[in-house]
Amino acid sequence: MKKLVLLLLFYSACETIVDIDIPKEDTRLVLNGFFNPDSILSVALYESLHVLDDSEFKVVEDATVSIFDGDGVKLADLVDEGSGRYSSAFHPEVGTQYRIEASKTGYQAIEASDIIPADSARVPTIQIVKTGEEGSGEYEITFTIQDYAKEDFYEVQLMQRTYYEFDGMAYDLVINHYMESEDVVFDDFTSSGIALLFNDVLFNSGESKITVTAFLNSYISCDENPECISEEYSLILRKVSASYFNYNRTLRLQQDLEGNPFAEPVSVYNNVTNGFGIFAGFRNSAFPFHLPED
Amino acid sequence: MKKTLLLILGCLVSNTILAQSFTISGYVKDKSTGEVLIGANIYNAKKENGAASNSFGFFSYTTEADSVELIISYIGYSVERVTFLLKEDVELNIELVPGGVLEEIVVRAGEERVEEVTQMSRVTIPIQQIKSMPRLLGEVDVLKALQMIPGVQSGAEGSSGLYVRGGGPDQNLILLDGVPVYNASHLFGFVSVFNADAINNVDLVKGGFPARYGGRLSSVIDIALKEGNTEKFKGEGSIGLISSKLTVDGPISDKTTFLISGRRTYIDILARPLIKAESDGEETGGYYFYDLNTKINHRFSEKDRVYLSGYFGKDEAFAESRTSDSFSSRNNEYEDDFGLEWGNFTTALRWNHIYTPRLFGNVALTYSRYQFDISERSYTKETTGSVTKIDESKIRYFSGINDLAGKVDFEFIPSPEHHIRFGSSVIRHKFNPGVLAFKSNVESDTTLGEQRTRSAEFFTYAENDMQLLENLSLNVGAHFSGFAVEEEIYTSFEPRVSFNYTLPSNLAIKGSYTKMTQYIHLLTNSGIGLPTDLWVPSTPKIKPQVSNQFAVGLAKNLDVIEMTLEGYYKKMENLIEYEEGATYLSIEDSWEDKVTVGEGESYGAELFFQKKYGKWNGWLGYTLSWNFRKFDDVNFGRRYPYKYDRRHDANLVLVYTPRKGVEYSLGWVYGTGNAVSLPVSIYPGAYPDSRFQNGSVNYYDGRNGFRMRAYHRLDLSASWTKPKRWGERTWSVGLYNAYSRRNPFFVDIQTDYNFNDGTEEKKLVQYSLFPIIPSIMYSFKF
Repeated sequence: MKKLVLLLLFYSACETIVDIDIPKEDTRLVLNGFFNPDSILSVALYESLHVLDDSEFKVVEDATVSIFDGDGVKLADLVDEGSGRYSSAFHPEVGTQYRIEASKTGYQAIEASDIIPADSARVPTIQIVKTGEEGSGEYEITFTIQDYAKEDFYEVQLMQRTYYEFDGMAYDLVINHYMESEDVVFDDFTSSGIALLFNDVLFNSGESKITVTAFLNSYISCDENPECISEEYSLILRKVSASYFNYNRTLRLQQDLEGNPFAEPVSVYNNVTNGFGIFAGFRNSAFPFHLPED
Repeated sequence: MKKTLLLILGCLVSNTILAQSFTISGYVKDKSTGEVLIGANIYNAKKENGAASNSFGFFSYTTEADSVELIISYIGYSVERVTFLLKEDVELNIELVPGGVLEEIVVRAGEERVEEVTQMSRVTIPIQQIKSMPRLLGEVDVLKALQMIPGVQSGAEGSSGLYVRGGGPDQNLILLDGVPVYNASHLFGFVSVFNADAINNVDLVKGGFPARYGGRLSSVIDIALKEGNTEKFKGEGSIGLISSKLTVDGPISDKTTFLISGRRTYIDILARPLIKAESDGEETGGYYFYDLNTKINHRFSEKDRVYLSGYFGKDEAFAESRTSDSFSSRNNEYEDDFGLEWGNFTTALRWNHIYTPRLFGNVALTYSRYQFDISERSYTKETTGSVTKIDESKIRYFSGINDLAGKVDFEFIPSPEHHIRFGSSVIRHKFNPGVLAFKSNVESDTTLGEQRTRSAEFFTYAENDMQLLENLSLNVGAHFSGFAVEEEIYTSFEPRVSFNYTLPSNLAIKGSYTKMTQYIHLLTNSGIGLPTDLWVPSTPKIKPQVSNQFAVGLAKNLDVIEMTLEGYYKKMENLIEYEEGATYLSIEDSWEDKVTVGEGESYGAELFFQKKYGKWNGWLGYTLSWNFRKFDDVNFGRRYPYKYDRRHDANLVLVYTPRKGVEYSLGWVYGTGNAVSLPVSIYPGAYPDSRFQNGSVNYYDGRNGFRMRAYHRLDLSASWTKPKRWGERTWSVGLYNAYSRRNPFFVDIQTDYNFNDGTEEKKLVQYSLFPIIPSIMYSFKF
């Protein structure tokens, strides 16, 4: 429908390059970092650009980046690893509130806080049915989720880990597969991709069956590659914080609507005070499954 | 509250008891066609007071037994004078002769002067003036003419949407012969559904609403269809660039007249063979719209008239593809069909009865339906030898609203000092905000999003337009309405008051206060009025929209030019908007879960000079306005400018008729650029793995924080009419956007890549829609 209208409109549309005075905002620090209990803490620092600036994003080095707990006790200083990355051997814990601060001369200091959800995701059953034609790799995956009695946010992924040997060396390769779903728990713009976001508004504290269609056809499948030793499939159900959910949801939405002149623009969620970006926690739970035999 | 009620009641029942008074009543008509004249003025020169004809052409004037000298006037008609001795009730049907439009005769004694009318914020444009205005693609458009009035914004380029005093397009009560029309546009908003050849009168009320109006917050557009020629069978029509139309009307008997008026585009007929030829006969497609107005009017007696009118209109876009292929022994046939259609159907059955010369009544039964339908069919037939396999699926999305209503209205005119109106109405609404149906021969049928809602709306009102003192008139009334939906019942008491105080220099000071309640909402995320916009009811969760509007103004007749200056302040509550990213096709959720509720505020001043007749006629309007919205879930809860917040808006319409049969016209519009949201900064998006970037994020420092370039446009037209043996013909030529101004339709940030050096350049690009567009039209009358 919208395409039809756009076609009609663009048929006679013409372009003019115009000057609209877009004021130069102060360059701000951008902090991007998701944290979880299975990894060390690592964030990236950049600086923002004016919207009409053609240059590449610039990383920020030699900044001071520190992590604090909820009581304001400094836990560690993150080490500048170059290329704008800062990390610490520190492993965040579930259920703990963390605050991160970053500063550098010439920029306004920034800070952000978030938490890793205390509870892990619960998936008692997974059912896989092959639905597509031979060779299509199309499967319908239905999993049951047991929710907690509070507002919860989730992200689901389908992971394939393949172990193989090549020239006497062992490797493992991880792929997150594309999925799509018509299940009511997903929004239009979060219902396809390699990670699908949803919340528990429709089944809070209850149980829900969610179905996704996955395309597991892979060039690294053991059926096709003699170097392949074994492969594993897992449903990764990630419990994510509200900040994680809001950021990824709005980012996806903004990217989806890009170029649509009739849509109101979407502001991407930002929890970095005095700057831009995201600092948000999540925890993974893996639920292995086997593909059905042909 | 009690005091207010008592005051209103007192005003309504107070009546000047006239000693030995009689009533002159009847209809005012066009002598050549028998069409009633709405708003004609009946003035008694002896008493210096009078009456005006109502929307059925009826008037009632009561005065003491004495000699009376009535001057009956109407714009574009010669003045009629009637003198007689009034000693009993008199029935007087007056016929005015058309043709006075070119004469610069100032009928000071009989003219309804703008400074004497109590109601403010009301504009009437003579239909002939609308027909004389320049137009897009040669299509006469009533709503586009109204966009040239101060206080009315036009929305997107070319669109016929109306944004009145900061209101949205859903807040206009568009009445066609008293029936609401829900989607008043064809061709995705570029052409309105009203065929000017079938229209008798157009009134726009944008504030100071009398109590008889309700149900919308921002305006009432009251369009009356012609009734049909009572004298002889007549016709008129035109052949234009995109459509042709034909209207015929005439008497069926001496008591019955009819009118039928149709219009159709022929883009599809012209395009179909071209598309077929281009696709080797495999594909076809097209777009067309049509509309049909019909009316039949029967006079049972001098006191009883019945009108049956109907409007049928439809837009349809379609595409069909038929292909086939063969592989060895296998033959495949493919069929794909796409259809998109929307349209209105309205009908009204009305009965006028004159109970006494002072009491006029109208009973109406009306039905209005708007439906939008989009469908897609896919069919595959695979034949291998004697085995045939068929896959067929159909998907259909439709939405709509339909209303069935009953209404009674009475006008009681006991004396020239009081004009009392009262009445009631009941409406049954059926909403169908979106259903997706899927049918297939291989999968089970599915229906999603069935959210039919039934509701009942009612209102009752009473108002008195009274002359309290020689220089002070007052229109006071109350409108009480209610809405029952699911288990919720909303009610609203809406006081309405307007006054007019005339200073000795004939400068009138006017003021008004109105509260309005609207029980239905329009969900839109297109911003340009697409047929996909959904009409939805107030529900227990979504409250009715409410507005409070104050207006003050000055009015004066400057010789032959009417001048009004008005200032207004309007506050709107319970407005709804889609949440960010929600769309009409997300039918899995209830629409109530996809909207956010907020408020609006608008204020401004409007200056209007209008000359309705003479060799030179037209108007000049200027609006200075501010218009804001505030939603908790939009723009971080901060107030922001409405998209059509237009600080300055100016309109000039000039029609010049140097001699009979020749007419030149000019229209010029200027408006501050529309508000637009643009990002000010960008930064990298985040991935869970901090080594990677997830594209780029645009940072918006608030919604609608920037302005596009100013909009201005000059339209010109000329027409030459020549009498023929069979009637008359007119050639009209026009230029839309005569100096081909590249007006902004939208702006976007575009990146140009230079493949030679690998660099890229970002720039703001403005897209424009219509350059200069010439038009030509041939019209005829017989």
